[in-house]
Amino acid sequence: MNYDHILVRYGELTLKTGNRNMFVNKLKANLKSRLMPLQGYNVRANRDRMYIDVHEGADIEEMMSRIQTVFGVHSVSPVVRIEKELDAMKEIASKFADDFKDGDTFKIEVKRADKTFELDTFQLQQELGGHVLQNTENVTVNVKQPDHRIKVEVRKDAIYMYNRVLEGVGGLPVGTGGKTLLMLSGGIDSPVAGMEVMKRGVTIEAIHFHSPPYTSEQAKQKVIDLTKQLANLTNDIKLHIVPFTELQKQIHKVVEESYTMTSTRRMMLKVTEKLAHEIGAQAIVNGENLGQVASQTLGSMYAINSVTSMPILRPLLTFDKEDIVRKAKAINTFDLSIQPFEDCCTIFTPKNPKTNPKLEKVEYFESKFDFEDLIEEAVKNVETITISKHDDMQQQKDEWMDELL
Amino acid sequence: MIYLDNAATTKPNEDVIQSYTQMNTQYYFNPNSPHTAGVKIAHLIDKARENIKQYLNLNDKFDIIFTSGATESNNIALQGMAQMKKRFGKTILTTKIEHPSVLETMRALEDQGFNLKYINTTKDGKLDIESLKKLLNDDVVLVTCMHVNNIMGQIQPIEEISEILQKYPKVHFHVDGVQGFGKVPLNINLADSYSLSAHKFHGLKGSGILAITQIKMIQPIIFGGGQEYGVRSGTVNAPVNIALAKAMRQMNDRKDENIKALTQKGTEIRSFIEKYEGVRINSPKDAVPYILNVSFPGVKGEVLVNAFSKYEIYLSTTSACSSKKSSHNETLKAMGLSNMIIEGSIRLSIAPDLTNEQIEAFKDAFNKVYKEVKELLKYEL
Repeated sequence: MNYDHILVRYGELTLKTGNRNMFVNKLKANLKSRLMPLQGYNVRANRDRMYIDVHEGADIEEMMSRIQTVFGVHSVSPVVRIEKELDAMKEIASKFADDFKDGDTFKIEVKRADKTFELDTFQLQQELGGHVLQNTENVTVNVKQPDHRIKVEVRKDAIYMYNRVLEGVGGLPVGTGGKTLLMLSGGIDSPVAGMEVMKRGVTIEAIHFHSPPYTSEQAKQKVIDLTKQLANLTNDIKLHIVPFTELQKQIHKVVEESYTMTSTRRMMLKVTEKLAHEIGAQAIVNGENLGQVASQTLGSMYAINSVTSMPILRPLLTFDKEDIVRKAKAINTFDLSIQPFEDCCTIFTPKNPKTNPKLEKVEYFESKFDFEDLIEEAVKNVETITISKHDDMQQQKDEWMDELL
Repeated sequence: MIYLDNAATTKPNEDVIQSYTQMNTQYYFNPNSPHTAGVKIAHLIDKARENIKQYLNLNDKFDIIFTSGATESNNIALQGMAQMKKRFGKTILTTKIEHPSVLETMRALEDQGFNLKYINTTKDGKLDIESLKKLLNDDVVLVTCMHVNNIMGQIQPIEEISEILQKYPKVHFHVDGVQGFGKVPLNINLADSYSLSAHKFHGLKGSGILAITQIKMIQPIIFGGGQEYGVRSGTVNAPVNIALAKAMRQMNDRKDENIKALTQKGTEIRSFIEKYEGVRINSPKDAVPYILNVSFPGVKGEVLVNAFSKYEIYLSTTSACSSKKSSHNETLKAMGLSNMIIEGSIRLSIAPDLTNEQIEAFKDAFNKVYKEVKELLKYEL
């Protein structure tokens, strides 16, 4: 079948009324950016749906699979646009039927948005169904459970015909919901947390704590690679890498060992909050899950959370680990995350971290040293990298591989 | 020189050697090293595995283990699976016409207390489906068979075997695919594991793969650093693994033209030899066209190999792996051939790049050799 358009249906954003244009424009921009490396298309959006003109020879399947992964897309169909003329419609309808096998059943489904069209729903079904029956051998109509559905939409500008509806990821277009700062550790959870908030239309920047020479360049590269995967889901993402060595050393000097983990998290949160203010983020996102590890008990969360009044979003709070793993695999971060490099959370892990730390105690230990200067210093020396999805390095990487393989 | 011993080993492709050299000069890092260079190679190996799965059209149940060749692949699959399955049953089935790397492994398992039974083969060298059906019972845990016989070129009924084994879900079905890959179509997903050697498809010696399902349950036979899913420890031989992937890619790219060339050239040689009185073609008509087993009854195979060598034509007696043993070949015996036919047999195995001039030169030489040994031929057997 020679499809000439892709039809994109919006999900939840059709519920928006006042500011729907803003959502649609954002979705259009995100979609274009997702299709950027491909050739031969033109995107037209209106309030209810989007049509992508596909030029001849363009890879329509690749386009659709890309569009499916754009947040805010409810479903996608490859369609044929037909002038509002019955003979042309008949011809295309029987082309759809070319792929039917012997003994298959089908149904014509008509949706008439343009009520002025001369034939009504029933007449159209009869005309087109009759034509297909006449021109295709050994097929019958079954209106209840057909093997194939040929869908016909009568709209103001033209008729659209299609037979496939592919599901999109849903959610809201990224960039419509404000900005957050994601604490990206390199583990399995935090990239998934980032994905989850992006799905709600939120833009993210990422922050990572790096403690050279205790943590390696590989650990840093891993976080860069993870960010790249997230960028693949949306647009460029800024990654802020915080030099954390001095703070970490100081914590170990003054805080009792069983409390170092609690204190480390508190310092990270303080740095994150400061940076969030600087970049204009309105919330912090992390991959915390209730009860997964020592720092993720309610007691720990209380003691750690006390350093900030900024909202902390924990989209994975109640997820089971296997669900998180499944999601990580779906966004291609799992294999990166399980690479075994030490990060700043694992390198100084105390033997027996407090699972129920007392806020007064950790505050007491931290009072022995003025951490503010070190925090300022860390924020000042943040290294910011913009990670783009259209990454030339990735391409180069593949080229040398292809030559050898 | 006319090389007609491709079932023993093939000539490596230039591109394959180039990948191998480049790996050794530029990308010699250990993929298990934590530094960037090592990580790069680990990614490369991952991609090679993915590609290989694609070339073999494997479903997601399969994993690819790089090995030193099909002998090791067969050993890992058979020993590893037998050990894993012995709780469920102790009977293992194979045929007498398998490659030594399968037969000897199965005998070793027999020594360890497994109950080894041989599936009969028919007169033309095919696994006898009825015999398999009779041997199957609830105690059977392992069935193994080759895809294409290395001596006769007979194609085994993998599809039928697989269908029968559907009723015995605990049976692991291993296929030794060495002589078939890229030359005979097969849906490998029908098996539970599948072995390959790179040097049989214009790759390098000392490398192969095992495609296998249920990798997490298999018992390793080599212990160490946990490479290759813990099944086959030892520093990953990245250069030969990459070269293998390259050889497979080329085999895959040229599959159709290769099959066409092998069929055309094999058929031509076959119909040429058929005309000679007293010379017997042992390979059945429905065997693969690229392996041809021929007997000059009354003349020893070794004499023939030497006679052809004089004209720089290289072929072999039976298989390379057993040609130096005095025992008569198991495959030919299983086919019920007389000792004289077996002793007088040679194997010609061709590659797609055999030229028409070479075929003509071979015909010439064949004619000369025939005249030299004609008096020794025993026409009536």
